[in-house]
Amino acid sequence: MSEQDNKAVVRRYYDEVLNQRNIDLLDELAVEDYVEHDPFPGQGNGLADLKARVAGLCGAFNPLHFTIEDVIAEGDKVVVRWTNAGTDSGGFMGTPATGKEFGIAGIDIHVVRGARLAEHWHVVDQLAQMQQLGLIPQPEAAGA
Amino acid sequence: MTIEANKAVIRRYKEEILNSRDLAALDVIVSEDYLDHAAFPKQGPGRAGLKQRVAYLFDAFDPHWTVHDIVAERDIVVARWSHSGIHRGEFLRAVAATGCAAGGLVGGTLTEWLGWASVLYVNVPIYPPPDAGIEESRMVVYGQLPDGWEPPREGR
Repeated sequence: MSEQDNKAVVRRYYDEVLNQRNIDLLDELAVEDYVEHDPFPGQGNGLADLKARVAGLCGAFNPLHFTIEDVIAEGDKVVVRWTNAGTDSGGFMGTPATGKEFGIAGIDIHVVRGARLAEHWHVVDQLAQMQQLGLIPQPEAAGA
Repeated sequence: MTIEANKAVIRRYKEEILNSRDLAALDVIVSEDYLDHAAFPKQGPGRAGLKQRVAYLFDAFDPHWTVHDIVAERDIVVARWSHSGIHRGEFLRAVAATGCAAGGLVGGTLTEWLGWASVLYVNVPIYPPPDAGIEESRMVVYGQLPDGWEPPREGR
């Protein structure tokens, strides 16, 4: 697989799995022994837990749209700098739904093996997300 | 500049220059019109603004950076890193952050900062998760804490 092929696999993850909510496509796009280095609470390795993670995101946020801002690939790694916009329609990780909108940025690092997603790290501006949803105070409002 | 040379600049920036607090070295590896796409509030433009930014980090947290991985293509270098430090402000608590940084490189100097690198800090009193202790608050941090990192004791 070339780096360009790997980029194409990763783009399908954002365009089809996340944006079109086609979670079952992961059966084709990810390996069975998928390794998650930055798991959601309770998430283990493996394809089933990856699907549960995406289902959790889709269940919490609708609409949810990822925009790919940049893709950088070298060897078997593909880095995606993205922004996303969504509405907290279902509540995230046990919090009640706020109905509020958010727009945040993040960076994912994927490992692609044999045209399938195999490993993942990420950093997401979740502080901004929680502030925008009103789940934690803005810094100015937080009393010392 | 080759991709490997670009990677070396970023590794030197993170692990040598920042960890040794060598602000003068930034004159060599950062372009004067450096563009920060994820500037701190009140950060000035260019290289001078970057110096202001890192000096603020040094004072606030006395951080130590570790680079875990580097991926590069064209003139963009991505570093997966973590840092740990002590918040030396009014509250004396530990913080740890992980981040991905994307820096654009032209001719061996750092010219742009494309990424942002901020995540929830661990156990900073301003943002305590409701009714959460340290163990629980670590769970809201996306990313890895440095190997062996432990929260310092209260009042250290």
